Amino acid sequence: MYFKLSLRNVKRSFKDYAIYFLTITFAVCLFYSFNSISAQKAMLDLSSTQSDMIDVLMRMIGAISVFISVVLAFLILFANRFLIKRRQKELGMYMTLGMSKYHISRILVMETFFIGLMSLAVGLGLGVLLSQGLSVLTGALFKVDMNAYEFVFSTEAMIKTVIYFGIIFLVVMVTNILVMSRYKLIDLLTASRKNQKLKLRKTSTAVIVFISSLILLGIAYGMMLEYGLFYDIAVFWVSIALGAVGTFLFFFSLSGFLLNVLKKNEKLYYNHINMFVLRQINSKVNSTFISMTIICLMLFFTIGVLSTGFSLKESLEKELDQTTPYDATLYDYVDGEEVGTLKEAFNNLELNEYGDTIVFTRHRTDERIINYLKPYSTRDSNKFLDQDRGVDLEVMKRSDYEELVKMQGKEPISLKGEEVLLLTNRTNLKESIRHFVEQEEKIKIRGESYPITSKGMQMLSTKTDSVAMEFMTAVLPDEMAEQLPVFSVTLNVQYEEGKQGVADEKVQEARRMLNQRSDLSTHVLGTTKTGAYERSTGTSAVAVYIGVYLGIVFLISSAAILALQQLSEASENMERYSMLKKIGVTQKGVHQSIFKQVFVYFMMPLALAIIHSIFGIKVVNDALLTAGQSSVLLPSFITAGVIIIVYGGYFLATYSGYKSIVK
Amino acid sequence: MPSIMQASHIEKYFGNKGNVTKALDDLSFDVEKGDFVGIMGPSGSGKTTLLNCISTIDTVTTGHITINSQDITKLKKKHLEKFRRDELGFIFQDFNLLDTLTAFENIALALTIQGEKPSEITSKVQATAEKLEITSVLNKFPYEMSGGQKQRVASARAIVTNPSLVLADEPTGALDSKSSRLLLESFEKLNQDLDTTILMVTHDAFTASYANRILFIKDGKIFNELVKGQDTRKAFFNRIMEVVTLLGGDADDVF
Repeated sequence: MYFKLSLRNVKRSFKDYAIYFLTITFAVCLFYSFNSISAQKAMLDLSSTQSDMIDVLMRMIGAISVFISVVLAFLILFANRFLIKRRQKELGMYMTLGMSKYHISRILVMETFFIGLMSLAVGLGLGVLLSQGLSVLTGALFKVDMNAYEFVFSTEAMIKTVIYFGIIFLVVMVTNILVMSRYKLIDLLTASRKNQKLKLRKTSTAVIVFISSLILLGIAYGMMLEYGLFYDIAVFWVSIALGAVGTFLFFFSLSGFLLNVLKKNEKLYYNHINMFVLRQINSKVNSTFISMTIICLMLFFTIGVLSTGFSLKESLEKELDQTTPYDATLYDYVDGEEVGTLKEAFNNLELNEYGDTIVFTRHRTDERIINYLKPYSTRDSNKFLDQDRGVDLEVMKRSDYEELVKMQGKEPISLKGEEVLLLTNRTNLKESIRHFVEQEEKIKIRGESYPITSKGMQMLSTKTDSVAMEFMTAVLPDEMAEQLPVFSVTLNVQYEEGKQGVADEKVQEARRMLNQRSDLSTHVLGTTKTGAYERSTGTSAVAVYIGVYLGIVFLISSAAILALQQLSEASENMERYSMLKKIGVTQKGVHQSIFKQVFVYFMMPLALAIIHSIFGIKVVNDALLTAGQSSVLLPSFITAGVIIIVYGGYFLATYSGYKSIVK
Repeated sequence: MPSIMQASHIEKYFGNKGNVTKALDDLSFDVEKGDFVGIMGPSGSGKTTLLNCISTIDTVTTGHITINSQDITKLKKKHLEKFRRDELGFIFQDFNLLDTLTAFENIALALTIQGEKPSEITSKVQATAEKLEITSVLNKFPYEMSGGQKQRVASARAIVTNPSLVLADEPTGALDSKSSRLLLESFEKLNQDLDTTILMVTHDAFTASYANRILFIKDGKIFNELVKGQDTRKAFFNRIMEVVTLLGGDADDVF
């Protein structure tokens, strides 16, 4: 009998359950797809480094999934509480009929079980579909080719999903039983009749808090725009913290402030039932400003990650093209007698059987580059020069320069007499140096004055590295460069065709060997081009992947929380709307009021999140423009599309659910 | 006196074939402008059904109801909503005030729904509030008011739009006797000073004694009608009690 009753309950209250069911299904679907990455490996043509990266990704997703399942558990508990609240009267009726709490709990447990089972099944089904598409994303992120299409199914991920969600449902059941055992019959029966007390805030407080929230947000935006993304991690976190506090105060005071402002505008306030709508929103926001803040920040994260993650990754890779002109590089910072030892060691590595090699030295000047570039600083270089005051000009020999450029398959700029050429591989210094060589005739290095070549400056990397660290280098005639103390010794290798695999291993082995030699006190650094690429794409791919995973979960959670808050209010508002109808508000008017209310409620956190994101995206875009060129326009549109679909879908579901509850 | 409301031969059936309940059975009466009519009857007599039909919340099965020379049984749903908004004022047993709005806003809402000019609203609400002696609570929320105050705010909301007819459904049902008396005195005042037409449903003889005319309903039919005329309220009350005793059941039924 109880079995039948609970099954019928689920069927009957399907409308109430719709959002609950949808949310759990989405959650299961995402959870499964992102945990099925190891199975997707089958479809991808991975190198061993990439395979390692996927393993790292797997471990990270495993860890993040624990966090995500906690988020989802709270979400599901929240949704469940809403359902129970909605049905208090019904449960009260069961009790008056003489059903014991034990039996009612049993009905609830069974209902949870049905819903859980159903959403788990549907969610897993959708998840299997989604994971097929996800492997395309994985391939693109890791820059690997797809093998022939294979059907991806991960038993491991499925078992994991079932276990995690099984635990969540168990928690839900236990909470239901606990909640039931605490209810009193009278509370259940009169649940719908309680009058809500209003928390009121003084106008002056609201205005002061509101203005200070705007100031805080302004400071946060200003700091971000001023210092950019990569200036200092502390500055970054401070501005994020200021922004979060600002957001909190914003929602804390928003409704009080807005209500007071709008009240002054009689035309608006006394227009139809605007008064009622505004008061409704006011009272709701007044009691939910904490969740509003969290939702706003979650949406900001989602928008930010989805719209900039891919571009950020891409531009990091573009920078990599610039900084990896050779197939392999070994280098070391040395001076004095070790220079000779190291040079000899590099030459004896016998790497020339795999291709062309070059060993060259860089020399120290102890001249700060800021002293040259300060008058010619641009906005980009300014930020950089401010923080890296300690960077010195380096010098290299003209003959080395010519050979290095030729090895890259380019034509060196021809230099005559004492002419000096300036090099950099930093995008953010390029303009400054260009201005410098255009305006100045001569450059003074260690008291000597050299003419600057009229052929400009050059963007050039003289070794392979995963980051651009060659700030400013002067190419001097050999004999003049040799007078300066040596700063570092570098070995570059350009492989012959087809020898890449063996050569890479050989280079790594050579590096290990050098580091074991007792006559060299320092540590030889270096990387191969493949290594730099795989590490860089791998790391950024892992970051983007996890960002997307979290972003989508956050988006769904935000929308679901808003939807449930509105729907739980709908049942409380049923009476208010029937009152309105009694005093002559038309059905259409009621629907309009519901629409406005739900719309404003959904838009408030989104609107602020969008404003946050506009600044955030601008900052990222600026950072990208100085690194590699990549626009965030397309990803932003895609993000907007995703948000419109998910968020809009929840909005419409809420609106229609609200209407049917009030009817 | 022109008649503001006419009910002619109205009938209301509930149920379906084979099992029909006649809630209203060939009922006819008139309400004139400035009248204060009480409708009394025991539970199940059909008085709430009657009120619902007059207030256009429900429809009659047959017959016609004319309010302000409009036949509401022939109005379309859209017009009904407009009609209810413009011609009728409601007072309910449980006040039906919106708890999120202040007293002032609750009253103003009736005006804004009609599309009243914002500039007129404050003065109209103030004027009505003065008549009902609730100016001191205008800025309070319903939960800060007593039952009597709430019901007077609800009354203010009902009359602020100057409706043709005010319908009151057990207005004293949730009030103590002192608040009831105050409220009913306000009704009396509104009726006498402003010529407000009031139709009040109640089963309480004391409440009914404030009306000028009382219709007694039993089993969907008009069972009796009393007119106050020149009687004092006390005398009228005693006459009402007599009918109520009769209504309670015929002596024949007991034996």
